[in-house]
Amino acid sequence: MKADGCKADLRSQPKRVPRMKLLVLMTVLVVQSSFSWAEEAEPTVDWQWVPSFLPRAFVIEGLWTDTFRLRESVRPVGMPCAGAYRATKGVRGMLSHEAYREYSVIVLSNVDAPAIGDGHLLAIRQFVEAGGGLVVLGGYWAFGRGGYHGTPLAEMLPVKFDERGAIAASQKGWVLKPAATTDWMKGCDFSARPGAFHIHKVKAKPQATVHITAGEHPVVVSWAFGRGRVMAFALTVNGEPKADGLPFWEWRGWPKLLGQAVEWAAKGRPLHSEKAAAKAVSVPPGADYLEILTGERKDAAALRQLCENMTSATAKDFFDAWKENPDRFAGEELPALFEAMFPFAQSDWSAPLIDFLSGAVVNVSHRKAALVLLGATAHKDGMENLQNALSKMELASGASRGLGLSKNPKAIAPLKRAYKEAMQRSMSREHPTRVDPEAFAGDNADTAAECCLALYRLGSAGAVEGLAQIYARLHFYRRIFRNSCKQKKWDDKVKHRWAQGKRLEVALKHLQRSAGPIPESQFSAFVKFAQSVTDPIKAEWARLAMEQSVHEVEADEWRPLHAAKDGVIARLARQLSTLQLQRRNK
Amino acid sequence: MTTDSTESDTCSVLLLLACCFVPHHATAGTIECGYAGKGSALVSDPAASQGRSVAVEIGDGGSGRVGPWRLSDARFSPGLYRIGVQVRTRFPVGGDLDRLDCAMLIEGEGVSQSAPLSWHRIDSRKSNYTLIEKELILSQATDLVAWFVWQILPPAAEQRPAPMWPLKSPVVKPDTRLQIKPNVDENEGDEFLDELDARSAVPAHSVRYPAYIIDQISISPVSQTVMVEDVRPDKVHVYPGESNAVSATVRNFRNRPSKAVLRFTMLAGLTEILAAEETEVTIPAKGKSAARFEWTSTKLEFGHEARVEVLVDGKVIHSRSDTFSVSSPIWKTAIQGSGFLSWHGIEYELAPHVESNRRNYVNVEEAFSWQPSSWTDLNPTGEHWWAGQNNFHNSMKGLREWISRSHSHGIKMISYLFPTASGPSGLEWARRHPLLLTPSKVGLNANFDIEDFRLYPAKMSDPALWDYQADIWQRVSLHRGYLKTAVLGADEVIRSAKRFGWEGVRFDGRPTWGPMRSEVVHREIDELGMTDLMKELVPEYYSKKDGKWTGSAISIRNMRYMKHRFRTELGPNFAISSNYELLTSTEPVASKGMFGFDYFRSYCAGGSQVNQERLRKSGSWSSLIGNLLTQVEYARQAGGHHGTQSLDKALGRRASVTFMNVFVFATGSHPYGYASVSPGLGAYSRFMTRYGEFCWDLNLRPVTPEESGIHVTDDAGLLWKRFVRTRDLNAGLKQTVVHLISRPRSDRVVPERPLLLPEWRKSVVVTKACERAPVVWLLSAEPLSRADRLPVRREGGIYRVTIPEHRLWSILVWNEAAPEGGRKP
Repeated sequence: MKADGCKADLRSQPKRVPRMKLLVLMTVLVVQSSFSWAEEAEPTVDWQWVPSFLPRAFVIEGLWTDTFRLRESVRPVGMPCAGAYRATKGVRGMLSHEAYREYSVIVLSNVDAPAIGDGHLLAIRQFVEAGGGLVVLGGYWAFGRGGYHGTPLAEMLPVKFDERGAIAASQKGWVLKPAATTDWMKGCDFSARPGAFHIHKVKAKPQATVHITAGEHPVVVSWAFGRGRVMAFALTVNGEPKADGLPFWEWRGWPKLLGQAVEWAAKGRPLHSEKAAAKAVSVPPGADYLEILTGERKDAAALRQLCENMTSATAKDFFDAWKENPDRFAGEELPALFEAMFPFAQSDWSAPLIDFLSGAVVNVSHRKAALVLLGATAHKDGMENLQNALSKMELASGASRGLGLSKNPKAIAPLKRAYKEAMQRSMSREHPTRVDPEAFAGDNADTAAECCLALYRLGSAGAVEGLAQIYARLHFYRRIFRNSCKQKKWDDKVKHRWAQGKRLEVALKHLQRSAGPIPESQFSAFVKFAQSVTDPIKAEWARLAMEQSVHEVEADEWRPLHAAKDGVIARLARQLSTLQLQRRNK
Repeated sequence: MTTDSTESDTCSVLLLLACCFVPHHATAGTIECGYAGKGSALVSDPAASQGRSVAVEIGDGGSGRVGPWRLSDARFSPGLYRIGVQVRTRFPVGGDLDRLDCAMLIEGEGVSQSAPLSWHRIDSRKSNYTLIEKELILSQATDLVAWFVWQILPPAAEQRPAPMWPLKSPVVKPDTRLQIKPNVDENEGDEFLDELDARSAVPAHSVRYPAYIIDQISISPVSQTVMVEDVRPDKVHVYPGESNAVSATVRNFRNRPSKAVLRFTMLAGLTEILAAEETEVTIPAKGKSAARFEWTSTKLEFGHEARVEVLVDGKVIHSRSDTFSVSSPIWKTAIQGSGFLSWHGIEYELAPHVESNRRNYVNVEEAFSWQPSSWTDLNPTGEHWWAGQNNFHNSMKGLREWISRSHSHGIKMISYLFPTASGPSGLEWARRHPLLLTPSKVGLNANFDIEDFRLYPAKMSDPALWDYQADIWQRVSLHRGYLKTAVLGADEVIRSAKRFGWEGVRFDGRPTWGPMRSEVVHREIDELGMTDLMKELVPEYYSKKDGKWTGSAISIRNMRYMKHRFRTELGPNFAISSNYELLTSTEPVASKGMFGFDYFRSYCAGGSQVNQERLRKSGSWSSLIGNLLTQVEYARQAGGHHGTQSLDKALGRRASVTFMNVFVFATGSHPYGYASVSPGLGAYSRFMTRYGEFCWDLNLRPVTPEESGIHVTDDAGLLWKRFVRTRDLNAGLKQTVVHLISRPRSDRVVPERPLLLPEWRKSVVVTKACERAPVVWLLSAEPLSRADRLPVRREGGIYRVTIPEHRLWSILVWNEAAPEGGRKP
């Protein structure tokens, strides 16, 4: 919304305004936002950073970003990277204004200002003022060419550029030279004479520091803006060098240089890692909690809070109420409630759950939820029900999850079988060795994911790699489905794919939430896996598992991962060790 | 006559009407259709041959089959027969007729053949039956029965569901059928009652339900000895001087070998005989023989007809012919198919697709957006790729098969070209050459999706994911102000043409640009070492060293350069087309004022095609006709040919497609992307292949009716005044061509009610003031391609001819002072 561009708190809730007045107001705001950036962008918000173990980068990627090798530069310095990208209509995957607080640095890679939008540009400015970092990479959609003139970016950047965005071009190119005073660049050997061939004609602003020049042109310049740090790369990855020319993006030192630059820019933002490691304080339930749990009083927000803060007592109370009259709980809330209760499941819950499952329950999601809870009771009587349900496609995901919670090693064999069957059902008829995304997405994906998760929890050998594998597969197919929906014609096929993608996303989020704590029986396998993993998606899953294990794993146990191949895992392991030591010392 | 001729047979078998329940009424050579059970009813109709016919009710969904009518009590001997069905229709106003398919199905032992009875091929006059004929080959003796079959297709996916008929069609009620109460036992079942009722004829006007009314089915033997089963030139189009042998297959129905003579004749123009040759063959008993006649085209262009007659004992038993065209460039005789293909998973459709093109006389097809990058990469290296424009999946195997199959039929393959760097390879090229890209107000003039790019390698490597490609056009526009861009495009096209065999190229976006500083222009020319070449190609602009080269100068330079490269490196037949986006005003000046008529002239020179996409959106016939006439004439004057892209709104609507075809042809334009040229009211594509010169010859210049001296008596409902053209032929011969086209019932391409074709007309009189006695030919495609010489009557200085029957489009060719019409051999 353009109205986000006003100087009011971006988080403020919209008030009820008559439609006509709103229109006039919006028009005024839009007009103002077009002409008075500088006045409006005063830091007026009380910025609260979301605690984090590691600095995180949010990259907005434009054309030729991959040539900049941005992601492969950022990950080695131990910075998890999420992103949005330039697409036909603007930028896809932008953050909510609230979500900027989770990141340490934003990287704009050859992205034009109009695509980012006024509201986000203001949000980025507030982010930087509050201590966030900003790195801007050049290209034909950046600086003057990117419509930065007259936007908060022009103010934030440490360089001046003209409105037309002049770019100097030379096939011979200009060799990059570091400034002697630069302290953040380490291990970048410029002796190979890396060159640039199309560079933005910019001038460093008075308080800015020039770190690298190309010929006489300042090309890497930084300064502080508010509490944050901003670095501009007036370099583009364009041009075709002569045979003996070494483009800077092909230079071995480039990823190191760029990674360090992003790291430098991220340093203004406090991480509050100790807060991230703190256990969540649970909110005690109110006196009327049973009324809310049983639905006598409808209050969705209170119900959600109760689920998030479930205790063994509230779980028992609810279960007793449910047991007394299961018919009262025919609504959509039951799966969520059962989900919240399974950590507190008790052995004697199995009988009522078995009775419930043997009754005429039509609702598949209720049956699945009951199966999960039945598994969580870890009662041997539930095994038969769970194994039977495993053979039913629509219930297999619930049954496999339940088996994973049953702590019964006998479940391993049927789970492996169920996984194999789900994957066999997912194979393409036309290309028998390939997975058919259409057949995979849905029940088969859910079952395969739950089986892998269950095997992981039950300590099955090879389950860590298997779970990371299925996580990567879900991640990939979700992208495939989403991307395939970018059709001119929004027909039934596309709608179906959109729904399939959504379902994969739910399964993926479930795996993200369930990544940790790492089961004790799997820890050594996990360490072995995390030491060598290089696939960034699998490594992301490992990161989540580690973060979710912060209370269960001792400082020394992370030590083998201090030198993991993946920069993020290594840095996180070091960070977790340090935090554990600090806590121990306290 | 130039249509298929047949043996003049004296032993026509007179057949008897046979129906299930009523007695037969034998009529010579013909059967009358009788009541045939549920869904049919007898009607009395003075227009019917025996005063009676049968109405077949068409339901409002699904399909139906009525019959059988037995065609004879006796068995038919093996042989070639001609089936004729006399039929008329009765539909409520507003029916969604384009969903209706009807046919007469002839069944017997070893034979099941249908004769389409599409409503739009039937005269809509109330009192007229239309004879629809179809050949039938019987390879063995058999009984024959006929069924009337109908089918209502569901609405197309993009169409809103609608009822077939405006109101629910009533069933054939007894009270409309029953005129005479039959004397039957009241205890008999209702069904039997209905049957009896329906046997009694009711007046035709009382049929108030959608119906086909069938008068007669005739069947007559054409030959029971030998026949020419097939005549096929190797190619549907050849360049002048190119060989085009003709294959013929003859068939012997007899139980003993037959000796026969095959007479091959090559015809052109109206009367010219270019070659004649005879060969003797022995056809085995119940077998076939093949013959092949070598032939090489001369410089004579336009339509040719290869005719083969089979003679036994010196008597012509049967003949058959096929047509093809000769021209250079192809645009002169172009009938262009639809090249909008994407090969993922449909490679198996290539063979039928090309066969269908051949069957419909399509002689040129464009591979639309097949290349990895629209301008910068026409030379894929891998086996699979997605087209830069819109991500169509393509494979090397599919592309080569498409081209090779088309070439084997003489169908010219044209490459698509658009001045963008597109797809991954194009955008990678763009990264390396940003100075040759088009800047925009912000960034570059481009469209891309980073995530889609990222997924390319993974998707390409897994065939199970090919169906998941989004239709995104990833592109950056190229800066055509620089000659380097033209050089690059020419290089790519030439390399690709040599590699794949392209015979032309269509610029979907023109290689045009706005003004450029002379200093920049000359610096680039010098840098490229093209000083002498540019002096030769653009002498009128080259000397300009200061100020600016105009948009026209830059654009003309680009076009002449590319043409020069194509001509010198790919030969003189290489065809050039350009989506010109002519404005629909009277000035053929493209938008934005970047370049003007001088570029247009320069582009058209030498026979390039002005391909007109803008007309796709035409909503009214009057605007289409006006635009076509204007644009075709501008192109003609500049030496170019005109192509019209199919009207979006017409597709799938038979009457609209028929008018679209007729207007495109009659105005002198050429069709592009017409998937439905056949079946139409007429055999338009075959007709135009044979007689296209009377529409397409650039020497035909428009004249007013007054100038021409032509007058059409009683021309109400006929369009003709803007369709008179003349040309001078050899030896002082003067030819005047006038098209008579029935006016559409609605001016809208898609009227509120489905468009019906106009009623046919009898005896249309046309006169012309001539200095010398003319020879007049009537050319028509309806229902079959033909050219008939008309008798001419003189009334003072006025000569008069009568068109016996005008359906939708008739062409009169007046040759003045010509002994036999047309060109001298």
